[in-house]
Amino acid sequence: MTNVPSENTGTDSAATAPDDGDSAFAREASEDLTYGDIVWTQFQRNKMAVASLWALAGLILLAVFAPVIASSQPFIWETSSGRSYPWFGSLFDRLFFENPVDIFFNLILALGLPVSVLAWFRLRSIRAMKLAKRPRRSRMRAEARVAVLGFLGCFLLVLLFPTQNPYVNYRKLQDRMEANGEKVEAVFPPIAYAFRDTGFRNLEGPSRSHVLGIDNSGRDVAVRMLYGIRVSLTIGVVAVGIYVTIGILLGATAGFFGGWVDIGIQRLIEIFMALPVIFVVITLIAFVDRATIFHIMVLIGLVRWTGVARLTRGEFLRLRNQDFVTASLALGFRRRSIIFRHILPNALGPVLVAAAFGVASAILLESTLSFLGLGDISAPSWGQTLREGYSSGKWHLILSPGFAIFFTVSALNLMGEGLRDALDPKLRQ
Amino acid sequence: MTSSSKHSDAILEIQGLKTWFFTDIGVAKAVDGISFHIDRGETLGIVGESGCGKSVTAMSIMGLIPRPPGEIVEGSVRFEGRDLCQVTEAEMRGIRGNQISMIFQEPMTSLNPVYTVGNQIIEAIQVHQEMPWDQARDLAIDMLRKVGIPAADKRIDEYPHQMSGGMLQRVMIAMALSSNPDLLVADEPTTALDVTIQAQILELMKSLQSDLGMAILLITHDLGVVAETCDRVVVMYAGRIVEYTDVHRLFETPKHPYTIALFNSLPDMAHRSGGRLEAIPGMVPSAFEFPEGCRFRTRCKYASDSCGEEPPLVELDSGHHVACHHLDQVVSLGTSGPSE
Repeated sequence: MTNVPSENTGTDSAATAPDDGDSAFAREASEDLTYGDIVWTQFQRNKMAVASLWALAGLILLAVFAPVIASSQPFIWETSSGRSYPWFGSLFDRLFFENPVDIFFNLILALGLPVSVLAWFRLRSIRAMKLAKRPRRSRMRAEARVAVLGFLGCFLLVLLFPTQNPYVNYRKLQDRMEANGEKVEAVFPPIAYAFRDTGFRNLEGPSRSHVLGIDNSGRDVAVRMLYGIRVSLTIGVVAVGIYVTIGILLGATAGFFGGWVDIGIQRLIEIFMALPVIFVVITLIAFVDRATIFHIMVLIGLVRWTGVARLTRGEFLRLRNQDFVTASLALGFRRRSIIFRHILPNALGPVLVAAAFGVASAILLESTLSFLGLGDISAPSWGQTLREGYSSGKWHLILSPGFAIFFTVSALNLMGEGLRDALDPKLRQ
Repeated sequence: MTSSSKHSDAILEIQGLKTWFFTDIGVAKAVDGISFHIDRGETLGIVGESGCGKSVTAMSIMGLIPRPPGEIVEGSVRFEGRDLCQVTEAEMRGIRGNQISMIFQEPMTSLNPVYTVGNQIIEAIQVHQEMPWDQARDLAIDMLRKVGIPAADKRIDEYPHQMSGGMLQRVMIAMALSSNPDLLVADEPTTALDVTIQAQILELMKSLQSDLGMAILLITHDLGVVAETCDRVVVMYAGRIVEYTDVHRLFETPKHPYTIALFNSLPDMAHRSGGRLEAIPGMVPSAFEFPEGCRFRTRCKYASDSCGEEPPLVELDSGHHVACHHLDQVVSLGTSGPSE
């Protein structure tokens, strides 16, 4: 804003010239810097954290593109009887990808490109409307909501109306047909095995066709590592999502209302904190007939919420007596709006950091459970391969999952640390 | 107050209000039986030292006493005929920020740091008025102009940390007045501001009052502010009203020893004789252990045995109420005289 001589607009009630001197100076320094900008600048100063962020982005990309890198279904299959594209059909085939997690990532893979192109065009047309900042944002938010709901709708649709094609082992088929002298053109992904494909030589070390070797059941380890990213990231994010939700709700209630509500919730927190997480989870999993990764996510979520609840409660206690909360009460705002719209965003920093660390520890916990043989047998979990390495004593079965777990957990922790430091105003430079 | 006459013009009438805080170390009688009324469109000041119950009175009117430990034990707060102590929380929410608005001492912390000021004004508008967002934004810009913020259409998108204290207090006033309230409760609105900005804000409040016709309850410890803005004044000491009159009589003929002592303790440029300021001896007693009877007697030079009995608030001449047993002895003002 330039120094326009105090635009005397409206009534004469603007009796005196307002003080603009000091605020103009303050504004120049923080021109258009939102809180997010400040945090991001601070975060970028931490090179390790930025590297970790990139590493995680890479992991997510690997998870999404896993079928492109490794699948037993050929992209193109051409014989004398015609041409087909089995790979594309397999993406949403519930006999091929049994696990909903895989369906979810495949859906991202399939819809990612068209949706982002569409989003780019929508964004351009919204920009072209030249709306003010706030209506533009609410417009964009509304469209993003439609996109997310559409995505979840597709996901449900695939889950509720599964396509199921009989499984064909195209590699063997190709070998057989070529042996019979038939001409076959097939384009396979770089690694032409699915994570469930068996039949390789048990416990074989790394070779050219199997870069990370073969596990105890004759499965390619590289493929299992790749699809293991999907399992680990999903478990981490969903479990943390569950417990952050529980923790925020209980912590906010305790901190805002205080009194008996607070005492009750605090005792509940203490009871849950007294439980040894791993034993509780092991015990509860024993009740489940055949544990899937969803059981594990929910269990971790139900047991681990105490930390977030305490953090949120503390922040709410601190913020509850701030002037702006009293002011919003005096303005007649609804309590729900005060709790969630006004106090919560101010309390979210520490929770965010706890969540980043929480994803790492949830991944570690799942690996532990799989290592102990309590995980989901059908999911390609890193801990499972580690367990096979432990029982067979083969180094290649220990090294790859060990490194995968170490890499992911370290990246998450380093990123969490970077986030914590970026959010801490005392460390700001 | 001895006369129980209904004030037909009163927008707010407080009768025998007692707000006590029940804590582990005892009962703090922060407000202990006060009565006054505010007429439509007038400005009533409440003056007193820190801890005399000014802010608790404001919070009692707004229904924002933290419960527990606070509780309104007795009395009524009648606003436009309705007793605010009896209405439900939902009804109260409809009154707060709508018919009664409030502004606070610290504008820097009274706004939520994570939203733009416009966002917060618009939310305040939409809570009480059915209004589409665009229209609410226009109204918000209008209000910001009214309170004298230049380039209001640009500054509406700024965050609180981008504005100065004076600007933020203007924003708070805009927010409080956006619903066109009948009563504005201002709890030390200028205490945290520079003297020059103080004058601007007071001027602004006065001109907005004459535009919008609302009543103002101004809480302050600054007698200068009272002289400048108020029509009538309540002087509070230790949870009670000691003197209650219009502003001219308060400054010309203060009657209560406490009021007189307050005036005498003001630094005064006109009577600069090199003497010392007359401080009131002692400290404000703690709210947990107010003395029996007249609460000022521990610091009063006229105190006698009769002060052990509580002095009633009597009406001397029309509208001038004082609570003191020794009105005949009290010398109206010391050598230094009032600052006005």
